[in-house]
Amino acid sequence: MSASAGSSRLKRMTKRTEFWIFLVLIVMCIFIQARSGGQLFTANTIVTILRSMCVDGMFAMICLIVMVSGGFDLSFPAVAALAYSLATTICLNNGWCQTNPIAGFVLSIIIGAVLGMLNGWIISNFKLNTMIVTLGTQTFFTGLSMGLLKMKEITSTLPAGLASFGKWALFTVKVDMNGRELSYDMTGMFIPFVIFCIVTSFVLNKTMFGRALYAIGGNETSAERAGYNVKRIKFILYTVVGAASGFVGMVRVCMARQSIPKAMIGKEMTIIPAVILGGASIFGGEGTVFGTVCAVAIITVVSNSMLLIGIDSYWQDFFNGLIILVGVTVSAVQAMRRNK
Amino acid sequence: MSEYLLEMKGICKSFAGVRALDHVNFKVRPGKVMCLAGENGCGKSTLVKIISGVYTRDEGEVIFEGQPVTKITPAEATRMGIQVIYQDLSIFPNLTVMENLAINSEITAGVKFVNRKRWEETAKEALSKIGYNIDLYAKMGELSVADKQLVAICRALLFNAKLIIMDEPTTALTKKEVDALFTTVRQLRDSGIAIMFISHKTEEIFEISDDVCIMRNGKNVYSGLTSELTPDQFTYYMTGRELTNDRFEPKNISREPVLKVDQLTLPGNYENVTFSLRKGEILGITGLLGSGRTELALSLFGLNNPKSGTITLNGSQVKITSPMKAQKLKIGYVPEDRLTEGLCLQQPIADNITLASLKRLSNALGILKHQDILDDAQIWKEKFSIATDDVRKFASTLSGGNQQKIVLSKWLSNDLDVLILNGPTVGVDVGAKQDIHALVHELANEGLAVIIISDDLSEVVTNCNRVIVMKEGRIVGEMDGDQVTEDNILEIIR
Amino acid sequence: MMKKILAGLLTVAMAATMLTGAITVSAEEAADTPTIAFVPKVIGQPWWDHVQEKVEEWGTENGIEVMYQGPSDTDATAQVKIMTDLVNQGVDILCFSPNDPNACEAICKEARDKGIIVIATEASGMENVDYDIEAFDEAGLGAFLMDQLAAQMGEEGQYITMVGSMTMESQNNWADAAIARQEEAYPNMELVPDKRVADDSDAEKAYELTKELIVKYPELKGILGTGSFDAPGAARAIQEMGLTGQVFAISVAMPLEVKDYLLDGTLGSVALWDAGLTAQAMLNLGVKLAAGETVESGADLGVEGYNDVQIDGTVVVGQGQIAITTENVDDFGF
Repeated sequence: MSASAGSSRLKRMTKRTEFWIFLVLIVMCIFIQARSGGQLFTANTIVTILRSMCVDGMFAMICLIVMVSGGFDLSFPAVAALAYSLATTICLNNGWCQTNPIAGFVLSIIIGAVLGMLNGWIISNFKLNTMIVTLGTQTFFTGLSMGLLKMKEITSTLPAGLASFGKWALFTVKVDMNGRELSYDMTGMFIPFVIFCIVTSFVLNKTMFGRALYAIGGNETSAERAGYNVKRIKFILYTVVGAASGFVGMVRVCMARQSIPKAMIGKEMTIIPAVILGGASIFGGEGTVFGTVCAVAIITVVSNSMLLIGIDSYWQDFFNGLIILVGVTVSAVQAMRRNK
Repeated sequence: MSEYLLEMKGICKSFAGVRALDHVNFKVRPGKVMCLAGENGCGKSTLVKIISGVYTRDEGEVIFEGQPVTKITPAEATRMGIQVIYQDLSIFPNLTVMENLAINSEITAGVKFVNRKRWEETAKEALSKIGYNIDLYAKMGELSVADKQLVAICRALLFNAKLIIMDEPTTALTKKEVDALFTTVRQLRDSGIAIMFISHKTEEIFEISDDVCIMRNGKNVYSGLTSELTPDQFTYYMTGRELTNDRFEPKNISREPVLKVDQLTLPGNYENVTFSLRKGEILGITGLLGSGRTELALSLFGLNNPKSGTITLNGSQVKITSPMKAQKLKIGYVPEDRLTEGLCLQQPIADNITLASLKRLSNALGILKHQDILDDAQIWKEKFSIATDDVRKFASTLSGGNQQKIVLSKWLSNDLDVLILNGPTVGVDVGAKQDIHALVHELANEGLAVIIISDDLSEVVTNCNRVIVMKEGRIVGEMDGDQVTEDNILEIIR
Repeated sequence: MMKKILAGLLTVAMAATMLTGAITVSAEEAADTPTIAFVPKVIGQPWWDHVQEKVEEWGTENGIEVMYQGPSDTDATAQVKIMTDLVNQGVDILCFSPNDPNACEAICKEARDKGIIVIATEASGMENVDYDIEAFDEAGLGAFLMDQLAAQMGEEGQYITMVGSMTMESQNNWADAAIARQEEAYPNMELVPDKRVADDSDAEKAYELTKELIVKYPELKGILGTGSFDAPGAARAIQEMGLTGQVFAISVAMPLEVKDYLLDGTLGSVALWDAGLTAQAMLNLGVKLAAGETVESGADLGVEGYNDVQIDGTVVVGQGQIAITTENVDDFGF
């Protein structure tokens, strides 16, 4: 490869948001490592942070593919909450999931898919703004869960199969701290997270469905003219996203060993900004798995290090707000440059 | 084998009882450029959509390569070799050139997975069709309009296109880019492809087309060889009326200049610009793209502050630092891109007309007087014969020419001394163009000082009694009266 | 098809109606025993099932039947409707725990105008009641939590406080009271510089915070929570990190949620109050008032934790906080 080709590749790389977000992540980690007296890059902290990333990371993948298609899904936390609440309740009432979590997951995925289908049906048939539709369904699903179905908190009575699945550890890190022997479990839920990332990346980059999402996000009319069945693609997208939300919700139930119908409220307000920060455009058509993972890592590292570096937890909100502003500004500036 | 690639006979199409196409006949010859001309709303796009299979015809006969075609679907049209390049080019600005080139054929092939290598080969093949060279990995959105257009053409060629329909391809192009596009069009024509070129620009049509089909109100009023038509006949067929190309004769020029610009300089934009303007004059400022003409205009309206030099207005020296200041000094500006800079399309016509004079139309507390706004708008509607039945309708419901009239009236509804028009008839069809020109003449004769900035030389020549030619930021020539001719200007510009 | 749906809907509606008015123990009119009604926030829910049990137990002991009626849902309107029916029936004593104190004011005023004795609980701020009994006061609960934690920590070592959120007033007041108690009684205990963390009322967050705290403060020995998610979350972290017996946590919590941690020793105890006992104290107070007695601070309401109540205006405060340990974890059904 010639030198000029190499330099143009470098140039192209520096133009991409995920390159910068990765740099930010590195710089921030170094900063925290220094401020916390070397407590960030320790096996136990890393294990803790990776654990915290699992659920948010999977939700971020869900948001990413929706945003690539030029949409917004505000309803995924409500879908997840209703799916896992209902699934856990059904399992509890029927005595399922005593030894393995399969029934719970299958139920949650199915319920999530059905709710997602409703989103998809409304969005694709009536060509409405996705943000408005999912804002509506979000409230509707939450109302359904709290009002009509009267979903209850399930804590101590959580089926054993779900609870023990949540305890699944890939390995345990032992550290000695001032004479105390501490053990940290590396959660098995990291595996679904990695699978989510790989699958999302594969779908977005290697399948025509994924390229369709980018195409629709770039220019919906053109995508239609190019021969994509945009209506069908959107329907499938929201159905899959609903099913995935149901799955992720169930993972969280297992990890937290409790099913709290209200636990997901407001989740979209931390996940969507993270995805935007990771390079997804609020206007659609842009965004990568790598950038999104980096952004989720930044947010998780910061929120997990507030205590370590001695920052008041009030600042967490300040920081989240800052991320929204930075992410949205970057996204808007990029779109402006693109359309010039 | 028929002499014609595509023949359409007696095509009719109605929407909700309104007849959009009324027994339209036309023929496309292979290896020829055919122009489909007509004013906005004459049924051109409906006809294109019938050819490309988006709409189904109500009656009529379609014959493609000698074979009658009963029903056309978009997929069928593609298979037959019909490709439409829409005005927006149907590209994906967020994807690379390679992806833009290959994605359509991949979708048509019905594959499920992405094969980078095959995409790249497809893209290279597409580019090779017209010998066009561009970075395959560049983001589409970062290309110029001309490059985007070439990519769109290459993409169309991948489908073994026999007929390429180009919907107003020259709208956003500079003269130079238009020339380049025409070279490509001729190249395609010579390789045996039929081109259907949709336009309303007289000069372009005469330059590029072999055949022409002119439509008016859903009927085709002329089809035949372009060479058998004169520009005047062409305009007549388009608009249905005889248009007089009256040159502007100043009748009412003031003795003292209203505006004097002395040694105005903004490095990188323009340098040492000196000129004066009297009431009743129409001054043309022309030059190629990048000659500094637009930058100068923006400076006069407070949008591009000059570094040095002076501006004198009615005898006193002024600094124009913002559009607000310019308005206060009774300077009006009508931008080049009327759609993005001059109009709120999703707002009522009345609100658009009165936008710059709200101060006059509100009471002491700043509360708007709605009836006054409507009355004001009504006056301008009549004065400019804006084609609408209700000024409360959205500006987007109007055609380009009428939109331009709104932008003009927006500024004129305030009492002005100087009116700057930047490319006042870009994208406006020929009938509306005449109306606008006549109006500007009238305004000048009523005592307004007008500056027209344009690269459309015929426009400059018909409308200006005096012309300044700019080149690379400097004034390189000035002429007035009979000296103002296209040849004289061209001589200086080149 | 339509008929089937309609029939189904009707069945559901009827069932709901029946549940609302469900467990009615009709009182037999006796000349010298007062008619008493107890209206809980909701029926058919473990916390209130336990209260019902205690109310019925009291009825048997005292030979008075109590009407125990409540809405099937924590719905203020439905509750007010039940109270209105009871007032119109002409009960002598009305005990209740309001879903929405404001919504109950009107009917309570009407009841008192009719001469009915009205006794509430968890209704601080209500005007039209004879008395409002609260199981504990803020200082009492805070001190109680601290005493429990201190005992487990051996009265020495670092500790931190945890709340659901920094803006929840009562939880923060309890935590402040706990700190005050430590400063007064346990000089060898030390509050770490961060003082207080918030877990957003989420056990998962409490779990993560606990892990972080233990890294930041390797000497940390105690976590004093006031929200009901604090101890369950903290316990999970302590157990997973293998720190049982070295780090201790406590908070207000539901017994069954922490049962496993109590049994395996991760938690020594959690705090709670027995709403059943509060109910019994309310009934005793009502009977006293009906008999024409008056009560003042220091009065004995004849129930454990209410032997020496403090009275300020219409508010009666007991020491009803109890420790939940392996001994009594199964006594409540929740």
